[in-house]
Amino acid sequence: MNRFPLNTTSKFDRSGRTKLSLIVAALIIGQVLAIPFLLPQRTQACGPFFTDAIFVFSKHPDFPLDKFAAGKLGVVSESWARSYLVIAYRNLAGDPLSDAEAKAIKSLWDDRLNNSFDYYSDSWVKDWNEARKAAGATAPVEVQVYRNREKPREYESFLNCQQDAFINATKLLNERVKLFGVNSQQVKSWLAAQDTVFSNCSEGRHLPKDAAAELPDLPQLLRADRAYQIAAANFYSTNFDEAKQQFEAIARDKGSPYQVIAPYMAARSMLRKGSFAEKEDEGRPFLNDAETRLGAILKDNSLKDSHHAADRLLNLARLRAHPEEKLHELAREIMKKDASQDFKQAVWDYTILMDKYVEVEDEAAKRQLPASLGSDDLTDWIVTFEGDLATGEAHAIEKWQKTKALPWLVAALANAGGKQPLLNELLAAGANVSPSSPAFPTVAFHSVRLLKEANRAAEARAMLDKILAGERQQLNSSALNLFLGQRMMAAQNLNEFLQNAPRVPAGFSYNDDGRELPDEDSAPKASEAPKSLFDLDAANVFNKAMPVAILKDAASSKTLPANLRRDVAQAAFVRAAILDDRETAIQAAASLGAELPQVKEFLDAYQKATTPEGRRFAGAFLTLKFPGLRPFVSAGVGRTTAVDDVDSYRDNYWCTDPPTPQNGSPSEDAQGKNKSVAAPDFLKTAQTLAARQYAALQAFGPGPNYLCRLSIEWAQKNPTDPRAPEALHLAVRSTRYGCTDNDTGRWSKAAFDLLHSRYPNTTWAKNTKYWFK
Amino acid sequence: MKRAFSFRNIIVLLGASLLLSSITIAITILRKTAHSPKSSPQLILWAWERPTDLRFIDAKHVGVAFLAKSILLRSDDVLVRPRLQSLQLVEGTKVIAVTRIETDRDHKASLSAQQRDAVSRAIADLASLPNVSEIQIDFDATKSERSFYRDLIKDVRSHLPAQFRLSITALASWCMFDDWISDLPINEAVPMLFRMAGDGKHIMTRLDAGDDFNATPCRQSYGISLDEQRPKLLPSRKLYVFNPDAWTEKSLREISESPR
Repeated sequence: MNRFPLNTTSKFDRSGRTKLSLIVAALIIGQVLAIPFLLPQRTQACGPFFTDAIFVFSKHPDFPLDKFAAGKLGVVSESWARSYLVIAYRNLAGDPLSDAEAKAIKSLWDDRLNNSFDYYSDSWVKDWNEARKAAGATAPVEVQVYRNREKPREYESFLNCQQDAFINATKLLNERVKLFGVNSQQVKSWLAAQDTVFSNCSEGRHLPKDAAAELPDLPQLLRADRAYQIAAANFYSTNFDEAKQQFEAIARDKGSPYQVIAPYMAARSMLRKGSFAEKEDEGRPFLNDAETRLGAILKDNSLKDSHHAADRLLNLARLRAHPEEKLHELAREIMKKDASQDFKQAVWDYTILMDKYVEVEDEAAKRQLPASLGSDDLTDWIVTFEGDLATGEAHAIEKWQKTKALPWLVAALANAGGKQPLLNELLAAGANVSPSSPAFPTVAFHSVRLLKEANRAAEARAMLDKILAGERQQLNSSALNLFLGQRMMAAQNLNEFLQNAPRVPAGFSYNDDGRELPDEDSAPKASEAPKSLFDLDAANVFNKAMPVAILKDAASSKTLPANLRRDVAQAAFVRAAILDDRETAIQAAASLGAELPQVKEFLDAYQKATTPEGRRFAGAFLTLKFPGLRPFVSAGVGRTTAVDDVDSYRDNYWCTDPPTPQNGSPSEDAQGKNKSVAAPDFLKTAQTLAARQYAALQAFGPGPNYLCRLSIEWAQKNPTDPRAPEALHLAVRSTRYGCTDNDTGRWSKAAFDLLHSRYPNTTWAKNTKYWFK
Repeated sequence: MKRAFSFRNIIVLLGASLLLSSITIAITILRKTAHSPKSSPQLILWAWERPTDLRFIDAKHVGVAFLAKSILLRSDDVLVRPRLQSLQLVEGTKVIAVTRIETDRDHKASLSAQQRDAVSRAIADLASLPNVSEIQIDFDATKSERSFYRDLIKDVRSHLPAQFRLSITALASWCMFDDWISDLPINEAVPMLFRMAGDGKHIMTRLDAGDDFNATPCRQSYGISLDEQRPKLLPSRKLYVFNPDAWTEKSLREISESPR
């Protein structure tokens, strides 16, 4: 609380003591009145990311990626990162990767998935300081390797001093120490100058002293060092013109040990200057100058020691000066086996350039790509396959008709819709793709999709049955799950549906960063049989598109594995009980009791209830005792807390909507509209009933409201039932640990009040200290 | 004996007290106003890891919180990456520099005092960027990382000039059910109402029902994403908005014109 200091000045006269007393009193009272405004406002009651199942990877192929690199493509997805599409294309084009290329691309994926290229480690500077210490330096220096750009890009940094700068400096320092000795004047002078060079890494313009001015009798070698250090200081302080001139002077100095590297550094100065220009056309002359200089270096045999570095830098210069040309050049290198000297770098640069051209800022502008972008087949294919073109379908089919090449058949099938006039030709071509082809899963998936869109369900089913019978073992998990999903939706009866609903996840992940990286700790052990779960498509059908009587039949089916049968059985019973469908509930109770013996006693009570109210209460009491029961089936990993325990993340009882996967998509889109659920073929005629039942379920609101209401009604009419006070206690608890809405608070209070007024001396009342809004 | 407090004195006393309390209250309001959200734009765009050109915004009404630094804690190391993408703003834009902190899952961070010191200095350095008057930290600390984070916030606060605001992003669950942040030396915690897992749905329902966050620092603003549904929001609170795509005039209009 803020306090004003008391004014205790003593310049008042005698009557001032009275005045002083008044002033003090006023101050105190004033502060007291102001207290409510000065006190901080008081109010009255991890990171939860969870591992969940991924059934179909959407950002990258299935792990391990070595298999993908070797041609086991699975169903190629347009949502994958482009480096995967590059490799998919190579395999589809019949030119699989060499061992060296496979190793290189795996290294690229490791770097990108682990972000390991992205962060600077202070080990560069630590190592430099170690070298300095060995040379006699008494204190380490702090070097910040990033430098802020100038206005108007003052919030942007760049990596100014790279690792090679510190490595080279260390090497040179060690050489000078060998020559002149630790702590010698010469080494101290050299080191001081180098520290000045590195002080430019992060800011300012700090130049080492001119050699002649500092030590007139400095040896020639150290003079040459100093000249280079001064030029380097200008380079790092972004005085590129001055740096260039100084490097040129060094290049002319036949006595300088830097004569060979200096032209390269002059070129590098121009490359940086061109790269930092505000507008592309302002930078172009300098990029072109860099390109010319580097080309000249590569032609000059006397400079061969810097050819490797110059070659790499020329690649970068061309990337910046002629990005589209470079894109196509890289594409041509990548398309052919072992055509590139540095496959990893080539794919890296290619995908970065692709991002530049195909980074969509605005959906409307998305489709207006430069026509020349498709002038090489790889780029054309990627852009078409991704769906980046407004004319993708037509273009893909045209290319396929012209070339009959497998990549274009894949692109044509992926882009086509069910009304495509050439559908039969496409499907016929797809049917000729051998199951051993890398294209097979993608071709088959889209062929099935197209058949369904063309209302040729019987053919789709036949194709899927053939694939699942003959090729299941060859498919990776994501591909298998995609086919199972298609077959499930084509089910002609409940049994077919239940055969194809369970899926073994392709992986488990926290996926808190959207990269779908596997969480190894959650993966099943090699000795364990993989456990099937429901994906969201299956759960949606159970929850929204299946009448409860059919759900009850699913609960008793042995087609489902035990864990999923249990989930369906509890959903069937609880839903039937809430909807007051006694017959269905009693039949479902038999299934549930078999799966969860601990609830049998409560199921018996439900069956034995002689009145509708008694029945409804018995059902409610069961779910109060077992907070893990709900009228819905779970997708993914689901609730992992024991069924009779309260989950500490509030996954208890039920909400108005079914539970979504831990890290899955919400049931509503950004506009708050419910996403519609597609019904499988055999349920299409039952949708009116399913919708009616779902609406009735939703009308009850979240579970805690319903449970409070039933507990209150029962206790009021059956006050001597020993279950009544416990039910009221559990109902109040449910309002704390379950879903709530606007009305939950009043239900919570009503249950609380009734418990305390009617059963004040019970343990239940004593253990119910609060109600909850 | 003369009575010290005559009736007249009492009146004078009361009058003086009222005057003094009025002055105190007025000064308090003014001080709060100087740091209150109402004196800065009510709409803040998060500019994340992509080249961003926001020269079309009205700087009087729209501010920018940009990712200025990313820090990865791996074993004993502190790996720092400053912003490497362009950010173009119109003159006079209120600018908040955000640091995102992550801990390596495969090489558990030591969370040592040295590590904390390096991180706090790296964050406090952002105060030297032009036109930055607020630092924001974005760290989804797990329960075992909270003690480190608490101390880190204290350290950062001590490094920053007094007039600098310090805010954090907060998981919605921290704000609603799991308040460990109310006593932190921060000006604001922005509840992140998107990409929520766990009890996210429950929190949305509570907010739709008119409930408010329990943690006090969370009652000044909301953090939402353009591509996700949002709950009922109080129009008086500041709104931070994330856009998974690039910001355009169109997407800014979309958020400016949408009802809360």
